[in-house]
Amino acid sequence: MPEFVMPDLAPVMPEIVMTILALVTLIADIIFKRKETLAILSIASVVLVFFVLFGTPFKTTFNGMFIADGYSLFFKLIFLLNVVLTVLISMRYLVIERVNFGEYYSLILFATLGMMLMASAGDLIVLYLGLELMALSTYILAGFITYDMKSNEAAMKYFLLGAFASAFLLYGISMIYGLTGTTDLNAISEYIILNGLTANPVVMLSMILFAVAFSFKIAAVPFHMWAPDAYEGAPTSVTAFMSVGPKAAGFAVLGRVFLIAFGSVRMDWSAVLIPIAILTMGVGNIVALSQTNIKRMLAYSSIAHAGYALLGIIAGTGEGLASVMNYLLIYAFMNIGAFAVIIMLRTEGFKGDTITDYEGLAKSHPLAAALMLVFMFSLTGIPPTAGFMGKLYIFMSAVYAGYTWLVVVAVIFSAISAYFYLRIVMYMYMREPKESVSLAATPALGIALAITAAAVIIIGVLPSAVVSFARAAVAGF
Amino acid sequence: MNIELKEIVFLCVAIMTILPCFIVAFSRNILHSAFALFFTFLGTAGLYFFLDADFLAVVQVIIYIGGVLVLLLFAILLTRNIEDIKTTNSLSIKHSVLAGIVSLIIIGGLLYSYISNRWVFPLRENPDYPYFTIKELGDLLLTKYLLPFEVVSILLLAVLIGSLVIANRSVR
Amino acid sequence: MIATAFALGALVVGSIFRLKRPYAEKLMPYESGNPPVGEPRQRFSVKFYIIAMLFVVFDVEAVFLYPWAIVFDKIGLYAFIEMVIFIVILFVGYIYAWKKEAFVWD
Repeated sequence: MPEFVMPDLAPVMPEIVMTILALVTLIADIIFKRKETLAILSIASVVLVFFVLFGTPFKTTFNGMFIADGYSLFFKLIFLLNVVLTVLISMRYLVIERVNFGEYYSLILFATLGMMLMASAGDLIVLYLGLELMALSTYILAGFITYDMKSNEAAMKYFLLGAFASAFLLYGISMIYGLTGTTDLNAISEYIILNGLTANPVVMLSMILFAVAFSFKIAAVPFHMWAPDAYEGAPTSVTAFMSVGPKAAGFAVLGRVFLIAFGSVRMDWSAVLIPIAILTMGVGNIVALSQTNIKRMLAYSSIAHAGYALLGIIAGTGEGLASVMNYLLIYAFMNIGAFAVIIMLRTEGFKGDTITDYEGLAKSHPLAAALMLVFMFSLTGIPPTAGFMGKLYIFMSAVYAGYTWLVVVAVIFSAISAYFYLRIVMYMYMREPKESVSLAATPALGIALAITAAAVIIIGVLPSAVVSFARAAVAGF
Repeated sequence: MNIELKEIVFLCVAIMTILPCFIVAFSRNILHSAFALFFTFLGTAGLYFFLDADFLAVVQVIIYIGGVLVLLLFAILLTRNIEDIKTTNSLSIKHSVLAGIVSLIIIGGLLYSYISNRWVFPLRENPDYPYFTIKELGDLLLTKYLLPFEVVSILLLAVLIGSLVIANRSVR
Repeated sequence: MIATAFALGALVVGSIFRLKRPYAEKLMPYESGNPPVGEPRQRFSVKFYIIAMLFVVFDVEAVFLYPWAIVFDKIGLYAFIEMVIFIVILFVGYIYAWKKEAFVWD
């Protein structure tokens, strides 16, 4: 019988604090009638977790199941930032959509807790539970507008395909457990190397199953079918949330599982990921060209961005991983920024989510149009925005790892993407406004836009601080 | 004689598991499918007992028969106009050939792994295998796997909130 | 054994050889001789479904209590604290469901 040793709780402190605060938010929902209180409470909890996070020692605890290191710290920062920005842009939006309910905030906190567990998971069981916690909360959030058929459809599709992905993941886990007798990532890697199983068909099969499951989560082609419908139907604030958080969490586990557990079969998994990355960039960028709904267009754009980020994983080096993390952080800023502008256009009785709604926005609302311009430039990857720097570091790491041809493909697709991003800019600046569009601007939304726009430009001009932080974070990996 | 009786019981349990599967798949009445699923679940629990997985068998009975099946029946009874839905999975030649090939591959794989690995069956003859799995599971759950154990309760809480958000009108 | 086989056998043989001449009136549900009114199956209240879902959640919780109960005396106080945390988290959910009137039947 294994002896009970009190586990070291210090590395898990952020998660414990997060759990307690999520429970407090849930109870506060019963007590407070004004749901804005909950928004402030959830931002306050995230800030508190943020401070706890920086006081956390880098250690492994719970018998190697939970790893607190620089890698997980960086991803947790992305998740917390995601919560703050999402909550800021949702406060007014939920009122407009008439779904201003307190569960929204608790579910966001629970989803984030799941992501944090995923980023720190050193064991496949913790990884799976974190993933389910994140996914289940996100399914509910996608269907949060219960009277809207599109929102229901989004939740349904997201749920069915997410459950499908979970099944793949579990099948992969059970195969690798059956072979190695352990679910610990480091132990799996050791077992594979010690027993010379690098060409074993079961290892290959389970690696492919893992690749499929994670591809679902990061919405990589050909496992992206759910993404456009889910992104379009879900409440816009939730779309912003789930295009950043779950994607980053998917990359966090992808990096850890493939570089640690399957580190010895790197050539094999890069052979699997390369076609996925090319298809993802290709389909994402080309299909986005023909979209008329801006949420749907950004869904395809988010698929394409997952393809770029995959290049850094394929590179398989610490530098590649650092560039992926850097990219995901930048993507969080620019994507949520773009969604913040979209949310501003949503007012009572006006959807504001087709691309033609942006015609002449520069005339009626020059500031909103200018912000959208910044985010669209950044998503395209035009200097001096952060999007350019993010792509640059990813491509550089891939070139250093010897994948020059892959980078050439990526640059071509990136050039194609300019068409649909800049089309919005063109609509805003070159066309006359058709109807008067009013904006639902609030101070909270203003803060979110200020943070994102400032970050996009500052990181674009001075990327070194973020990049060296990401490099330092990977150093202890 | 003793061994033979065990084999007869096993055969009965196996038939009880497999035969209702045909009703589940081919019945035109969805309610019949749901009730046939009951026997399949029960049979699976029996198979777990034969595999010496006592805890798993109990879980199968408590959760699948006691919870999931009831949920499934309620879901059927809740759905409007379910009487009109009389279609079942249509079985075209192409599909059945494909399904047959996949099943043959799976059976072949299982047989191959059984023959090539020389597993000790039943597991109880393996000295490492505990007599009651439930005790060992409890030990592991509360010591080594403590973190997943606590995460499960958070996961269940999220499920609870989610189900109320989706289905409960008075939340609104 | 033989008795069971005989009873079942009689039913099976009977079902195979008996005359079957169904017609509309014969297939109608019997409601004391009157033509049946409305669908035989009414739509259930969504309340049943909520209760069933809550039941499944607490069912899973109960399953975790079994292994805990068996090893409780060996691990002692720590096991108790671990289970208290587990149950408190779900109890918060219970309070939430209670306050959101998930258990109210009207």
